[in-house]
Amino acid sequence: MPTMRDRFYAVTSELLASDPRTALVLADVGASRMRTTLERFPDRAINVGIREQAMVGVAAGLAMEGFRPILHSYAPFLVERAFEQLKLDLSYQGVGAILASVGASYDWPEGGRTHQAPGDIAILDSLPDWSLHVPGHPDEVEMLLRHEAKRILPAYLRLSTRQNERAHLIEPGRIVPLRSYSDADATIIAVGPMLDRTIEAVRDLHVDLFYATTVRPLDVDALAYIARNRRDVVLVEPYLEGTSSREVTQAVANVGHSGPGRTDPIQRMHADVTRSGTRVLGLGVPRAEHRHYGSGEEHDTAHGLDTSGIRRRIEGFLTGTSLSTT
Amino acid sequence: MPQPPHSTFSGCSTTGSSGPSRRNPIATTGTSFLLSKGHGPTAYYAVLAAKGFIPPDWLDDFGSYESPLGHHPDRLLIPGVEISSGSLGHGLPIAVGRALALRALGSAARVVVLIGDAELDEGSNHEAIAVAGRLGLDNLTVVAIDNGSASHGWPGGIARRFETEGWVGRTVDGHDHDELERALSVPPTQRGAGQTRAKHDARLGSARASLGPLPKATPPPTLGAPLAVVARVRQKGDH
Repeated sequence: MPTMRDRFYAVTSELLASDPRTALVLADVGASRMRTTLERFPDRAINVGIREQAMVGVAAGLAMEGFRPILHSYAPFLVERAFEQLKLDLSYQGVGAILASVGASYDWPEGGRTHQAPGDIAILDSLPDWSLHVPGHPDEVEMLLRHEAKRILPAYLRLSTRQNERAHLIEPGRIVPLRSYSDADATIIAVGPMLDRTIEAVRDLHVDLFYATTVRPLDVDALAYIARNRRDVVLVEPYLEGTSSREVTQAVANVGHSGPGRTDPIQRMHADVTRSGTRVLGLGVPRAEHRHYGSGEEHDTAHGLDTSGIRRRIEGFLTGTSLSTT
Repeated sequence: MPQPPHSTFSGCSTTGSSGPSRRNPIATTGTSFLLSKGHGPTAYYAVLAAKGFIPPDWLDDFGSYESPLGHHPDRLLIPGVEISSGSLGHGLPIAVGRALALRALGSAARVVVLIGDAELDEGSNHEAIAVAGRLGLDNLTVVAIDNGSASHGWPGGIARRFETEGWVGRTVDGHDHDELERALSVPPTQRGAGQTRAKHDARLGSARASLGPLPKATPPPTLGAPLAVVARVRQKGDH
């Protein structure tokens, strides 16, 4: 199956060729795959070597002169290693770039913690004005990348080797309702590559199922729907658990108070309970170091993020019973 | 080469109608000046006022809540300020990006970035020094103010760090304006400007592997050496 990464390289090459405003700054990762483009546009397609701070600083300088730089590396090196550069060289200077990462939370489990970045979205969420995209299919990568190439604000594309069977008709910034009921027991929001297994997990449950590929800003209309209906919400995210829970609780809080919340202490430990009584469960990758190699599927199982784990935890949440990971 | 539009997405927010009009130093002087060590910017603000970028009365309430002038400069608040600085080691990598951009746009403009000898401790500078040297950015100049404040010093001198990476280095008495001017005026032609990639690599003695014949496309930029001027000044006291 063609990967998101393949598509990113193909579309980026095409953007460099078609738009003189596009620039590419690499820090060795991807340089061999992009060699033809680096040779063809030596003035604005640059590999700085294994120097992530320079990669971001150089991109900021290019952006100040009107270029739209695309940066790319493994998520930990792109987002975490040079984070102050993202904060100061891009956000604080008032310029943007497109960051496309690979590796996701544990695309290469054998590589260990150094190549894993479950916290990438959470840390980027501390910066203003960023669009954070988590596509679930190569077609969605292409759509989001072409969309961002025309803009000037900072944007992050989180590519992963984990992907859904087929692409969905997404729109940047919008949550796609895949099914919804007037009397649904809850609203489930699956993010990017978590969709297929979430569809499977909730197949026979009476719940709304929404699909999100842009998680910041999170679709305000979808959040308003949730707030209006005062439904319990489950977020199924492929990165740090709870990353988007606050977005939902804030949206619900903004709608106002309507009676006592459910205050079972065990539920409160695992789920945010808003003042209106809407409960929010955030499924995702736990914070604890997980010192195992193996396959991504094995890590999914360990974190309760495979189909049966998601199913079990959603059921437990809805019935008020077990909420544990395993 | 098409000129991309300017892309700053947050405009200057405080200048208002009484604000100055000369927002773009590169258009008026042909030089972008990036103050990387952003602390102690009072002299910088005085120059901006003297050159008409900001009204002189802005200087009066420096650092107050409503003042655009902070103890570190903010490019979105102050006309003529090209980077917001304060955290050390950010200006030079950004300057490399701007020099690359100007070269790609076919601009003759020059980028000058001012750093300090202690700021040079930050590893991000060394990433940028290597990249700028190898990419032959002869439109880039670093002024390194050496007041001997780097805790561990620079054995062999600061200029050598740059020269090893393919820069032309000059060390001058920072209090001697004539000497400074001469050093800053070493023209690109005396820094190997116009070299091909192969000649440039040979000059650096680079072991860089050949990339093979280039496909027909954008002609590769010609390469020269960036310039580093180390300005030695009186030692700073404890800080």
